Amino acid sequence: MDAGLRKRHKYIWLLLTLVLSTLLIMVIKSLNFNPRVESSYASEEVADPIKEAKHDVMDVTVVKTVDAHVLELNVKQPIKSASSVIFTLDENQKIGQLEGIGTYTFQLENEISGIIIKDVIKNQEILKLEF
Amino acid sequence: MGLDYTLVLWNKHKKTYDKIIGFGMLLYLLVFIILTLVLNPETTAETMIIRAFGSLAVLMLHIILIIGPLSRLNPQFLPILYNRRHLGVSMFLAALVHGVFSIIQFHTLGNVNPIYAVFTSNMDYGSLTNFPFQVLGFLALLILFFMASTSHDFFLKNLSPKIWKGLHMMVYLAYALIIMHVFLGAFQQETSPFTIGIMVIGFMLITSLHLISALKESKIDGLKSEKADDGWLKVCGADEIPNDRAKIFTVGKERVAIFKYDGKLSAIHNVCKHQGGPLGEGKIVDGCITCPWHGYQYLPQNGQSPPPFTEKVVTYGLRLDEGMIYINPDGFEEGTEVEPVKC
Amino acid sequence: MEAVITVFLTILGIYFSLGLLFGLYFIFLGATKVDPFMTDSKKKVRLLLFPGVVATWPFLVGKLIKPKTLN
Repeated sequence: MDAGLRKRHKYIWLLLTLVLSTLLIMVIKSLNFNPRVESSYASEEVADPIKEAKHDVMDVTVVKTVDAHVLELNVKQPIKSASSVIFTLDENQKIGQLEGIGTYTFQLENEISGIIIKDVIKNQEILKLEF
Repeated sequence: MGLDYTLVLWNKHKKTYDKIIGFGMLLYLLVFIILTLVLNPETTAETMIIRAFGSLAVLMLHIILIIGPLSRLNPQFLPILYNRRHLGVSMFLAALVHGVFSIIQFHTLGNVNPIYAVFTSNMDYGSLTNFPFQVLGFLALLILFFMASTSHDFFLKNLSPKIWKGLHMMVYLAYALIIMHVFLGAFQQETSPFTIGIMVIGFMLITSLHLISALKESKIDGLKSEKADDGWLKVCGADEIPNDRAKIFTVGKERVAIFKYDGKLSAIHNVCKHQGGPLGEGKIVDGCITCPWHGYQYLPQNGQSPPPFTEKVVTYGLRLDEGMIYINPDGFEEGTEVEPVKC
Repeated sequence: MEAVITVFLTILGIYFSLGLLFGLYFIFLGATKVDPFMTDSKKKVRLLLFPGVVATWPFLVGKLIKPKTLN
């Protein structure tokens, strides 16, 4: 590399570091991390199913624990879409992602009246369930 | 260096290199598929292919981007740099499989042109987190196509080294696009701290290595040699340079290699005309300075490639005073004959 | 936004269509005119270069049009 090229590399990387780290921090901040709740609550008597919906593909239950609402999904059939993301029906807030058959639990910030499952890549609604 | 163009200028080293690339890629895909089948058996074949090849391309891009600064920080990594071209083309092929399968899976169902659908299926261009990440991937793939398809000496020569290098430096833009593509795309659905963590570590590794090596180079560029009364620079003793080898010095803003051979000294610009290899790290072979990267050759006394080749580099005037070498910081025209200094 | 996308993709489409035409010309006729070193090269080499020619055709056309220098 000659002197000019070395300089170009230096400035490109300074710029990339600055721009990308700012963007990444902004993205991480606005992405909603909703960790799956440990299933220990299930055995405790404080768990109290308050809402339910059944469908061929999945059963959905909202359980109230001492300090939170928990959404429980039991997916019974394989999901064909590569990207199945659950949103709340009320405020269209992202809850989490489905990968296939199995039981999922997600913590909810407040009570919800239903869920929508969307394919976010195609921007299509896959399933809508109201309680 | 060849007078005729061949598919690839093969040698033993390149073949071993390519075997390692091919084997590594296969191994990664195999491990990815097995892990997916074990951990997530519901995944469809198309989704598995999209994810396996996408993540493979991202991993390869990271390796490609750290080779440069690593070999500047430690010459032991140089052998990986010499054939980075094949690694780049293989990375593009992995990214292409990912792109083609994604477009088929997500955008061919409607009656809209699939490429058009990539740009219009999500029109949330004003949002940061919901930005249509497929568009970023498409643009990055386009840049990688331009780079991979011109990865041949034919293009280096016919586009001119300046345009070629500019085109290939677009990899940094592609990298930025890909980072955002992965971040927004994969994480719009899967807000997993694990995957985000891996990507952030990769990003920090690449940027810090580039910045550290850039700082090291700036330091070397800032080294000043002692100036004699007539403006010539005192660089080192003649006995400090080994036979048929060179020492590199910063003269003005540029680096110059001073070679010692057959009891003579000659100085030329340190940058090879082919791909910018450091000539001063090469040896004199059959009376010619030979670039350590791809074997391009120059005559030490005039900086010209032996005929029929036409490459030329800048030459510099030297003088010897009480065993010390002095260099004229103003170089001559490329390919100017300079009488070597006897030592 | 849709107008911008349509214009961008149309330009891209035209660019690559012209590139394809030039690429075919390059494989069968133009290779040696662009670079005399191509005379002895095999068909396989021209095929390998084809995608790059499609991608960078404006530069190569420029080389064809420019008056030849002794270099």
